[in-house]
Order: sequence, then C-alpha cells, then structure tokens
Amino acid sequence: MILTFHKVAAISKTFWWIDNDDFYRILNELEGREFVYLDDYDSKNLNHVVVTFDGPYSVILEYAAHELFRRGIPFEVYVIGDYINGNNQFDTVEPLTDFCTLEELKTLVNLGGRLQWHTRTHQLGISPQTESIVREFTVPQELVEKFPNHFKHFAYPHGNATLEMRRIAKTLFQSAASVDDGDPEDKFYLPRTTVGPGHSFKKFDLTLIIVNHNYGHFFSECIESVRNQSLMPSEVHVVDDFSGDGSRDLLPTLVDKEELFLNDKNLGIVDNFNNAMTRVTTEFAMFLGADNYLHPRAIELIGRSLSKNPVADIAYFDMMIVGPLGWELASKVNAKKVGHSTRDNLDLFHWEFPDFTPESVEKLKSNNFINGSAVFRTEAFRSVGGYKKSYPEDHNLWVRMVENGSTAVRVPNPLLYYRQHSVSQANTALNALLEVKHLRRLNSNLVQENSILGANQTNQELTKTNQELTKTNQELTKTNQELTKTNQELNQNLLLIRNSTIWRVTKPIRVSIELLKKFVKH
Amino acid sequence: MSKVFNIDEYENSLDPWGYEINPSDAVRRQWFHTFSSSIPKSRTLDIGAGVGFISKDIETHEYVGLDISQTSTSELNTYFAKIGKKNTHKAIKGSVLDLEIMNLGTFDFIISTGVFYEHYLGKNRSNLESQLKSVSDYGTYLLTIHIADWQTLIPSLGFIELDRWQYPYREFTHELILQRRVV
Repeated sequence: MILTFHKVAAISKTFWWIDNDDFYRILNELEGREFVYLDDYDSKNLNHVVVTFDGPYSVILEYAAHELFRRGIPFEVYVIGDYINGNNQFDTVEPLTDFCTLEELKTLVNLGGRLQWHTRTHQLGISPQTESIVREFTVPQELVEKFPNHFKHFAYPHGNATLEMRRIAKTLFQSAASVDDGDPEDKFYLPRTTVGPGHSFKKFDLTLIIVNHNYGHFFSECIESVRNQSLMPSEVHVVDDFSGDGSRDLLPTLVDKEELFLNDKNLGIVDNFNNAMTRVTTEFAMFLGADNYLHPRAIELIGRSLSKNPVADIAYFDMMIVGPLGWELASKVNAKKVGHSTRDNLDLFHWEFPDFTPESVEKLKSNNFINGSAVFRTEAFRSVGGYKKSYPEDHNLWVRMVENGSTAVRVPNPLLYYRQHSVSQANTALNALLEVKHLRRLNSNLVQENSILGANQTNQELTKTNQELTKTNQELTKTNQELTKTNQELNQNLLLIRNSTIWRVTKPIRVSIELLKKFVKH
Repeated sequence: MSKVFNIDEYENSLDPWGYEINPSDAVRRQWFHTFSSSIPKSRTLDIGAGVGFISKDIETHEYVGLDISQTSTSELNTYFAKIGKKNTHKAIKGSVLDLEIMNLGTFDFIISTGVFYEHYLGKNRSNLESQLKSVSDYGTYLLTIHIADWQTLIPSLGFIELDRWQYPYREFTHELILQRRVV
C-alpha cells in the first residue's frame, strides 16, 4: 500500500490537510506493518506500506518528518521542481502554502526522506505533446547532482497517466504512481491511497465492561476515566450485580451513552462476568472494576501494543496502587513509591510486572502477573470456556488460556489505578455521592417548579395582554360607531342645506363668482 | 475560547494579562508553591515563563524560562543578572513545539501555566508529548495549571497523575495537575 499525504499541520484547513494528532493516530494504527522505501516496495506484500507526500510542503518538515524520524519510518517526497523555495500558487483552490527551500529538502533527507519527481510545474494538459511530457518528466541535472540516489521514482500530476506518459516514465524512472487509480501489477501505474482527515486503517474493536457491586461511591471516577480516553472503546457496558448500596438508583443517573445492565439477582463474580461476556460481539474485551480507574491513554496504548503483536490474545500492563491502604499492598508486592498526593496526603506506588517470556510463563501458575483488567481476545476466552469457579478466577483464566496456546504482550506503562480502600473512605465517598444525588434531585425539582412557575407567569401575562387588547378593541369599535354616527349626521345636514330655498336662490351668485375667479386667473 | 490570540500584542507587553495587578494570580502563585514545595528541583524548565511571574524565585540549581516573547525573556534575563544568578538561570525565546531541536538537556521539574491550549498550539497533543519526552527523564515532575474547561492538551503519555486541584480563578476555574514520568 502506498499512502499519499499532502499537508500535515496543527490545524486541518481542507481535505488535503491532516492535523498533527490525526497523523500520529494513523501512524499508530499502522504499527506492526513494514514501512519501506519505494525501492523496496512489493505491491504483492500486503504488509508493505510506503509513506509519500505529494509536494514538498514546508509543513511536512515542521509537523511530520521529525515524528517519522523518531519512529524510524522511511518516507518519499514527490518534488515539483520549479516551485522549490516557492509556493503552491498553481493550486488555486487550496490555501497558499510554502514549499521547502533546498536547505529544507536536505533536512528532510537527513530525517530519512527520499526525494522523487513530480514534474517541473505540475501542469500538463489532457493530451500533451511528447516533447512537453519529456520536459516535465526530466529532472534538472543540478538537482540530480545535489541529491544523488534520489529522483528514481515518479508520480503523475493529478494522477493523469496516458499511455504516452507511462511510456516516457518507463524510460526515465524505476516506477511511477498514480493517485487513487492504478494497477498494483503495473510498476508504472501504481495505485496510491489518498489519506484525508479522519481516515482510519484499523479500529481497535474492544468492549469495555465496567462491573459494579456496591461501589457506587467510586463509580463516577471510574466512568469519567473511560470517557476521557484518547481512544474510545467500540462499546462500553456497565453491569451492576444487584448492589445494595444505592448503586441501582445512582447508576442510571450517571450512565449516559454507555449500555447499562442491572442484574435481577446477585450472580457473583464468575457468573456475572460470564453472563456479561455473552453480550460481547467485539474482537477484544476487558473488565474494569468500578472502584478502579484508567490512565487516559490506556485503551490507545493497549490497542497499539496488540496492533504491533497481532498474534497475542492477551495484553496486560503495569498498575498504580492508590488509596489509603495502598501502602499495605505495595509493601507486599514490592511496588515502588513514585509520588505523594498533597490533596489526599497519600503515597502512590508503581506496580511493575514482568514481560511475557518463556521464563515468566513458567512461573505464571504460581505467580500471577496478568491483572484482572487485562484485555483478551473474545474468541480465545470462549475457546477455554470462560471463567471457572476457581479462585482467583482471573488467574485461573490466564493460566488456562496460555496452556491453550494463547500468548500475551505487556504494555510497560501503568495504565490502571488500582484502589486499595478502607471502609471509612468508602463511607465518606458514599456520603458525598448521596449528597450529590440529593442535590441533583433537588435541582431537578427546582427546574421543574421553575418551569411550571414560568409557564404560569407567562400565562398570566398573556391573559392580561389579551384583556388589554379586548378593551382596546372595544374602545375602537365604540369610536368607529361614533364616527359613523357623526358621518351620517353630517350627510343629513348637507342634504338639508342642498334642499333649502336659500341654497337654490343663491346658486346664480355662486356660479358668477366661480366664473369671475377663472377670468381673473387667465 | 473565541478570543483570538494576538501574538504581536503579547510579544510587546511585559504583563499582557495583568498578572501583577490581579489578586487571582497571587492565589494561583500560592497554589503553585503549595503543590511544588516538596518536589526536589535540580533543573527546572518553565514553558511559557513570561517574565517569571510564577517561577523566577523558586529554589532550583538551574533554571530555564522558555517564552515566545523576546521582550519577556530579555526582562527575565535582566532580573537574573540583577540577583546574581545569570550563570545558572536563563530565559530563552522559543516555542514548546521546538524543544526537541533546542538541545536543552533534560529537567527534573517542568512547569507550564496557561500554554497547553488548543487555540495556541492546534491539534498537537501527540507532538507536545514528544517534545516533553525529549526534555524529561524517568522521575521528571510536570506541573501544569490551566483553565479547566479549556485544557484538552495536557500531556499524559509516560506521565502518571499524582495530584489534581481546582480553585476559582477570575471568572473561570483553574485546574492544577501534578504528574510524574514513570517509564
């Protein structure tokens, strides 16, 4: 697979820009694949990935090249010769963006980039003449001298590759690539995959199951840690195993987009866990006790680790021991003190586990190093019949899975905060939660009352306005009636005047006056 | 969040956000000292140090104050010269996203207040983490203070949280997070 990136930057401006975090995510998703240069690319090898950039934009140096260098990923940059030290002014629909200078191209090479050719101007008509194709396809001698062993591969501008272009490319390069079209069998018409914002290559298909039994007081911290993950699980199930601490009232108010399951009776750990697993349809699953919480990058790092080790059925990780009784467990398991919380006045401990090696596997039966929140492949879990009633049930499961041929991978980061709590702490937290619940209910009632009050007030105001309008209407009707009456009276008076003797007798005088007025005017 | 960051205004001003005159900022400095007093500090890096309002007087053997404002870094260097610490304490102009290529070495205490916001740095959390990794070691402490509703970039990879504390700040809520690198 040949990937085509254009610009990588702090912000994605158009489809051709990928923001930095998206770029890192895509690289994470491709971990475990073999990144190669075009020189070594075998299109039949589905594990091969070539990272290419169309155009040597300076943002590539700023935002992508250093990370590729850190990860040891080779990359190819297709150069548009006439625009070195210039910008993409020819690409009128895109924001104006600088290309690298010659010095910056050298830096890209030092970071593991190879320069390839993408024409002189990126502008070729639909049916160009042979000589203009040759001119566009020929790398200037000065560039060849400055960058020996580069410019061996070519990318057609806009992906346009006529038969004549392909014929000429064959005489000048070792391979040539199109854009999204192409034929993997044809070295001079290789297809590439354009990578845009949000493009995803592999999803980590995981169901995270939060199991609660009388830990309602810790639940908020637990579920918030899941919601704050940098990579979200495909599904989150919350299961309450018939708690008696008020959890069954509390959980529905705290669970939002997650799926909530309330058991009708207490099943106990093994039956509850196996029952929860019957609902899982994803490739992987993990359990998280409601009294514990996750590091914000837990899912992402576990996913990356499984992606790098695709044969592993289990991914386990280090833990932080927290809580008032943390010191007790830490001293038993020899966990390192790594800090002190001023807020809680408590120490925090890092519990490290060994890597999954033949030596550690030999000791697994007697000394469990895979914690109960480890991620496991659903199919491998089912193939050993799930949890059995043999204490400790998680240790027993891991041993049976490994005996059945499963391998595991360790993520060397503390990804789980494992709480060692006391009764008094639980009660303090419970009181706080009950108080929150009480305040929420109070708030909800107030909102409702406010809404009713608001509606009543509005209704009263509307009634008052309506009454005022009715009154105004009545007054207007009355005025109208009075005006009509006055009008009728005036018309009657006018008629009386017109029918009077004096009006008829004086008519010649009025006519004479009118005539005299006209005469004077002229 | 809608306020556009005016970099020119920032670069030319010694106290663009009025820290010296706002009581909330005195409280902020107090919380910073409360949570950092017990941390051993040999080499300290303050990212976005400005004129050193928060950190210029902390007890540390070496100090680097990084800021994008030349005006602020000059002012801070003048201060260090005045108190006779110019051989161990310095302010330099630069961006947090260039830490890796600045070759500053590693620090055991890194501070940043009001810098790790998306409206300043873009969608760059992963890059920010790489930059911080380049200036930290196993055991390095990272103390950040930001407006709680705005912080989406606080790094975590390789760091674990030791403390989190919120307090009122102007019309917002500030969140102080103390982390430590343990891998």
